[in-house]
Order: sequence, then structure tokens, then C-alpha cells
Amino acid sequence: MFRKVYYWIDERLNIRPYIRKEILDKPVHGRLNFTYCFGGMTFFLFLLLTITGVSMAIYYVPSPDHAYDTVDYLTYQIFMGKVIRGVHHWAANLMVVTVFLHMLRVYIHGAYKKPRELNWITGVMLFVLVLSFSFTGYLLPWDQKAYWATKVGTQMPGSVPLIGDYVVRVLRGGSKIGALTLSRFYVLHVIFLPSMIAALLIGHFAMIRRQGIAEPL
Amino acid sequence: MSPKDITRRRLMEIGIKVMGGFISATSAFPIIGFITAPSLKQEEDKWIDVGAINDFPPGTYIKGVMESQVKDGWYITKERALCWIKVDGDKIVAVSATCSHLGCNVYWDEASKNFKCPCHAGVYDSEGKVIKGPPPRALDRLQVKVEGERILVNSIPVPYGEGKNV
Repeated sequence: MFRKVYYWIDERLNIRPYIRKEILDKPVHGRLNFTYCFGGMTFFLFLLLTITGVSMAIYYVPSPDHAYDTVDYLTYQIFMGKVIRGVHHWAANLMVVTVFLHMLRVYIHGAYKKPRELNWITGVMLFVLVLSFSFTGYLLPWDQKAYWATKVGTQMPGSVPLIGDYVVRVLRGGSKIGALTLSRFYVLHVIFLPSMIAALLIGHFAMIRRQGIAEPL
Repeated sequence: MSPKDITRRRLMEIGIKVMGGFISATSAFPIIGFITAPSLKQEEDKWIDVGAINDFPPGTYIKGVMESQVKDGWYITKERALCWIKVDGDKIVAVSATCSHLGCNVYWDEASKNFKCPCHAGVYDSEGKVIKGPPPRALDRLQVKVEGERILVNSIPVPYGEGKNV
């Protein structure tokens, strides 16, 4: 069945030679080792986070009255709820680790040097986006830990001279953490940041394909 | 294909497909289960108090209000439904007020001794059987029981002519 569908598409778009050349028969440097997998692992975790995140968004309601109840409901009342939320939790934690290891590998190998500066720059932006995902996602369960962590986290830019107080208020949607903070963090977490990260990932991957993996040390 | 035809490259291809299939299947199972779980849940029946026996003068249909707490996913809310109750000696009949056409509430018309639906002019007789209009079948019945002086009806309607206590 799959073969038939594949051939049907191939007959029209002639994708077979492309898939062979770019995926199955793609030559890579012989001395690559597992440290070259951290980027791919990060992307795999990103995919896991997307599917578990979209699934949870079906049940989640970003309001102070209902956020905690809906998270409790989707975790303990729904079939596989613990698994889905657990995978989202651990994939999120691991993603920060794999991103860091990926960055460390690129740094040690000097792979950020010319002509790959642009890929390093998009990489750093992606790193910042991953941390923003972590920060905004942390508030959404709306429990004590979420509330106080966000209180501390949003307070930090307050020490910046002149604009500090303004930044804090923009982040929180007011002077206090409440309904407005929750809904704006939710939109950042599920709409704004995902679109940003998708766009940057396409650029990141297109550039590595165009330039090839940097020679190992 | 004999084992001789399997090149190293072909083996890698098969390996990629098998692993990809395994990863997809193990991800798909919890995801699909998680998304569809509440949709498959059967509604639990419960007995709802509609009032004391003395509130329903015998011989005619009196409106019964079924108010109950329902769990709507994570949300606990009050649900209100109507039924028509007739006390006739030892026999108590509870007719669901939900029209079998599109679900409006029917009312008891004492003058014509009919149930009438205000939405599309469906008319039922005093048993709940269709006389005219668009309704496809008779009004559902509700199971009734008496506990002490209170009349309880079951939240899950039973089609006319089926089940017990109808």
C-alpha cells in the first residue's frame, strides 16, 4: 500500500532520485562519531515535544481558574496522560542538555568559523528560543512551583537600568503575575515560539545541507 | 529475495525503515489513546430526584425538572433536563421531554391531551407515540423508582417500549 502511494507520487514528482541522493546515498565524512548526533537528537526531541505538546493543548485551558484543574485532569484522568506529560517534561529537560552538547561540539571543533558563521548565529538564536520555551512552559501548570519560579524569573530583568521595570511589566502583562501573565506565556509557548523555531530550524538545516558537515578535527 | 541479494546498503535501508516504524508505532499508540480517550467514555447513569410524590397530582402529566451535577471532563457543572411525569395509582410514568426529531423540549397540552413540540410542530399522543409532524419515533421513557416519598428518575433515557419500569 505504502509502496503504491509512494510510486504514485514518484511517477508525478520524480522524488526517488532526490531521496536516494539526499538521504539514503548521502555521503558523510568517514570520521564522524556520536558527538555529531547531538543536533539530530535535539531535533528528535523537538518532534516529540511538538506531538506531545499539541496533544496536551487539546485539554489545557490557560486561565487561573482552570489551568491547574486541566493539567491535573489530562495527567491523571486521561488514558496515557502521565506518559504524554512525562515525555513532554523529560524531552524538554533533555533538549536543553542536547542543545548544550551540540553547541559544545561545534565550539570545540571550531565549526562556527567561516563559512559557517550564519549557522552559528541561527544556532545561538535557536538556543535562546529553547530556553524561552523552558521558561514559558514552566508557568503553564499553574502550581506553586510554576508561580514562584516565574515570579523570580520575571523579576530578574528588573535590575536592568532605566528599562528594567518596563520589561518586567511587559513580561507579566502588568505589575503582578496573574491571568494576563498566564495567557501571554501560553501564546508565547504554543504559537509564537513554535513558529519562530520552525522558521529558524529550516534555515539551520538548509545551511548545513548546502555547506556540508564541517571536517572533523 | 534470497539473502545473497541483500547488500549492506539494502540492510541499512531495511534497518532504518524498521526502526522508523517502531518509533512511529510506539509514539502513535499513546498519542492516539490520549487524544481519543474521553470521546470513548460511556456516560454513567444516575438517579435524579425530581420531587416528592405529593408534588405530582395523579392522573395527568406534570413537568419534572431533572437537575444534576455532571462531570464535563475537568469541569463540574449543573445540568438541567425536563421530563413529564404522570402518577397513576401505583404506576408512575416518566416521559422524556426531549423531542425525537431534533431535541427540543416538548410540552404537555392538557386541552388536546397531546405532547407538542414548539420547534417543528411535532405532535405525540399521551403515550408519547407520534401522531404527526417530523419526529421519527416515539418519545423516550425514563426509568422511575420511588424511595420514601421521593420520585427518582434515571438519567439515561430508554426508547419507548424497551427496558423495565417504563
